[in-house]
Amino acid sequence: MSDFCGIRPNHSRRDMLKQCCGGFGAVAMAGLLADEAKADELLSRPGKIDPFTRGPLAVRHPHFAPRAKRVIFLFMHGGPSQVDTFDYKPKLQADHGKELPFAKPRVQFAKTGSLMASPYKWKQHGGSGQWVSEIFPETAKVVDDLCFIKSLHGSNPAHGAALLKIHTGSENFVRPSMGSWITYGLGSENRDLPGFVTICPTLGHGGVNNYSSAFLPAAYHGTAIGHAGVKASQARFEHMTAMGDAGVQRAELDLLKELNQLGIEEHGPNAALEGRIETFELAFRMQGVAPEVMDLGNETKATKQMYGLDDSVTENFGRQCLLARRFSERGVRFVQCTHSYKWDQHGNLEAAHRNNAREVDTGIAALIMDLKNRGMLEETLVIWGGEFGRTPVAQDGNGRDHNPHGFTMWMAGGGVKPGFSYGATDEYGFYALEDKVHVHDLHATILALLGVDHERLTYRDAGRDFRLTDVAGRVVSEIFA
Amino acid sequence: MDRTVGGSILRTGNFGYVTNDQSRSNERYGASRRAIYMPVIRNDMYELFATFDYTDPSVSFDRRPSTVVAQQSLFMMNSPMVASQAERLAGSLLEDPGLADDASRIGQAYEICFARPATSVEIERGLRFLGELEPVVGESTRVSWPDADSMGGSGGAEHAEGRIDARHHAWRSFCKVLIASNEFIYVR
Repeated sequence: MSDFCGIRPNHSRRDMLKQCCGGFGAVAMAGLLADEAKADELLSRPGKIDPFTRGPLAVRHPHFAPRAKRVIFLFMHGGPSQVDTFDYKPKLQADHGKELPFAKPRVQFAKTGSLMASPYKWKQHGGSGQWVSEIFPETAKVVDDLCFIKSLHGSNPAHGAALLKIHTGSENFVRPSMGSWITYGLGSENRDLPGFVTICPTLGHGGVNNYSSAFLPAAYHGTAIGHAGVKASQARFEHMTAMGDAGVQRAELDLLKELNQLGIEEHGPNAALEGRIETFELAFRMQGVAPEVMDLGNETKATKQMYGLDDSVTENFGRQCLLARRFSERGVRFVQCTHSYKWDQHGNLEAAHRNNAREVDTGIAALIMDLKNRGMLEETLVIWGGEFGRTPVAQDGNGRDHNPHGFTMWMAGGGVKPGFSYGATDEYGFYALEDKVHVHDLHATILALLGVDHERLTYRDAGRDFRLTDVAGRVVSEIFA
Repeated sequence: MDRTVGGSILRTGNFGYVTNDQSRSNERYGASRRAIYMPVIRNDMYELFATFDYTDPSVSFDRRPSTVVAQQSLFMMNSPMVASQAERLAGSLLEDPGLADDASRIGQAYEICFARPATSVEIERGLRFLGELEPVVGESTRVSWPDADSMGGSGGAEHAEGRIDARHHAWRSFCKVLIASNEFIYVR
């Protein structure tokens, strides 16, 4: 903790007070008078948002009319197989045991053999006729609300790098997470909760870097509830229960604030140190608000059943999905649910993928239906997917290897076409072929759905402007409703 | 604090601590050894490390991230580890016969925490805090720590059962504030 790398102390509260000779009154007025045009201009100027003018989580206006206000990312850690879930390949089913008639990727994660048909039964569902394998029977029922992208491709076949890629856009450097960028761009609708919440995030494969704000101001760091090692029912914001009497704690925080401010006056402005004063205030407010959000006591029995909370297999992820709805309802900008490191079937795919799907299927379908019933789906973008897909060729006879060259994700709500499918892989589902969508394109598209131009959402660090999409990214407007 | 040098505190054999899905971590991180002896397990990082920006062992880093988030504040406010350390510091100040009055106790606390004398403003503010708190806080139970299942050690350090009086309680609060302060947390 010896330096505050990446956090630039360029605008301190003191500087601002000096500039506004009217002091706090003028600051308040400036906040009230900051009109949309001003906010737009601030947002479009690289790295010019002063996180302390209206608070780092103050709501900022998007670049253009948003289709979605918030995001729920259902992350399937490990790499769900596209050819066993949503990307039906009749030719793969027919050619089981034959050799792949074209070249395998030059760089592979593990040694693979011949083509392996999906062990599952497939059917078309809904009015849109989307193919879904038998392991997602509940999701199949909401398929008319889903917008599939079947031509995703990434860059790296290893979990750690692929997780970082999907979360931050960069597999080799520490970069802000997608949720951090979005919260930085748009602020949070609820000042007493973090703008970016991640439920039971994985601790490995990049761990905290998958939800870190990196060089963005620390207020945009993802706030974890529990971690992958604990059940969702046990997951809490760490140390959320106030120790002792609230009055005593208030007195402690007042003293702490004064002592910290004495230090800042002596040693000069420092955004990180001033940020820490803010986080104590946020933490104090969270103690009051967060336990209420986490308490499912006032949800009806029917709702709990719908999310599968009465079934020990579906309970864990179902609870994550229900919590995600509750956070979204309260204006949390980006919520992530993680089905931790389950989907990595190098072997034993048939039983394990079936079990994985069973664990998440009920909660996912319930979330879509619940958001829809509450009128929230149209402004909430739900995203489902893993860090990569899997190979149509077999590994160890009954497994599949990592495959970043072609995989499927889907979105729902938030201004995407319902009951739609975009892009395609080859006839065996190995490589993305038609209307390819790189992970950068996915990020650009997500930002665009939120009304943010991925080329204008920038932050200057170490001498240059950074973006979530680096120097790439195409908005896949073809999927917009 | 167990000052033993060398050795391992892993309770499992080689590879035994690596789990595929983190659903059953074998490590409790329970030991009052210096932090350097804490195991670094890629898929189940020690919570204190993860909270305070230990570098991720799965990827290479050109620099260590340094974050400021509400979790860290909650940790400083509500973790039994912090409260327990504050309680012990307060106890040692109150029991030190060399300290004649509260002003000198505050001075000593600053020396211990920050390795510098307290300023007159800080002493005055500290005295006011203690004067306001002591009459209203009442006695308190001792903080239970370490706890093998939480942030604490596995019994390397002992803690006394029972209660502390209002004075000790107020001083515990004061010491907690010092430990939670920027000056304590950050290297200048």
